[in-house]
Amino acid sequence: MTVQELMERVGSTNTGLIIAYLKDGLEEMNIDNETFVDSVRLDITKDKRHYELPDDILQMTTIRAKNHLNSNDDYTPIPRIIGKIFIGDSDA
Amino acid sequence: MPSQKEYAYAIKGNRLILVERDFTGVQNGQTLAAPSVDLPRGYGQWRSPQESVTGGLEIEYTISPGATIKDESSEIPVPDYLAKALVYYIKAKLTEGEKDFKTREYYMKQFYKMLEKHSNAKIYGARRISPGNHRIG
Repeated sequence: MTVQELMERVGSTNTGLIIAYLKDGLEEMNIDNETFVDSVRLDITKDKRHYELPDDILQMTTIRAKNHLNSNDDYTPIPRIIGKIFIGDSDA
Repeated sequence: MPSQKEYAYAIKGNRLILVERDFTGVQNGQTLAAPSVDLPRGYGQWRSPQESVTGGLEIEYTISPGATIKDESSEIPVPDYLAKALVYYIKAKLTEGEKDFKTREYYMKQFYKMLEKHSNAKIYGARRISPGNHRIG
C-alpha cells in the first residue's frame, strides 16, 4: 500500500501531517511487535563498561555475548543485572 | 580453546552497561579458566570486561522503517494487513486533534486488535498450557 492509498482511506489531503503520523504509527507498531528487526555486533573492550546503544533502537529483543557460559565461541543470551553493581573501576 | 566467561548487562539511559564476573581473588586467586577448578555459579564479583573481544556483543532490536517514506508515492514498508492497521492509527490521531476522545479510543482499539491478530497469525501450532507442579487434583 502506498501513502496515497492510505490517505484516500483516511480521507485526508494533508500529506505532511499524514506522513508524520504514519512514522509515529510505525514506531508504535515496532515497540509492541517485532515487525522490523535489526542486529549489531559491538566490540567488547577491556575495562570498558559503558557502550552506546544504536540511535534507531526501539525495543531491545536479545543481547548475546560470545563465550558467555560456553567455550565454543557461541553467542548466548546474557542476563540483565538487577540492583546496583557495587564494584567500581576506571570505567564505572 | 577460548575461555568461558560470564557476562551480565544493565541499561542506563541510552547506554548499555556490560559487566563480567571476575573470579580473581576467589579461592586463592584461581580463575574459572584454570583447569581442575570448578567454582559454583554465583561466586566472583561483577567488574568491567576483563579482556577485549572483537564483535563480542550482539544486540538484536526492533527499528522503525519510517525513514524510507518520502512522499505520497512511497510504499509503506509493512505488510498490507499492517498498513490497514495504520489507517486506524492515523484516524485515531486525527480525531485526537478534534478532541473526539471516544472515537479516538475506538480507532486505537482497532489498531491494537489488528496488530495482535497479525502477531498471533504467525505462531504455528496448538497452544496449550501444561499443568504445573502446584496443580489442584
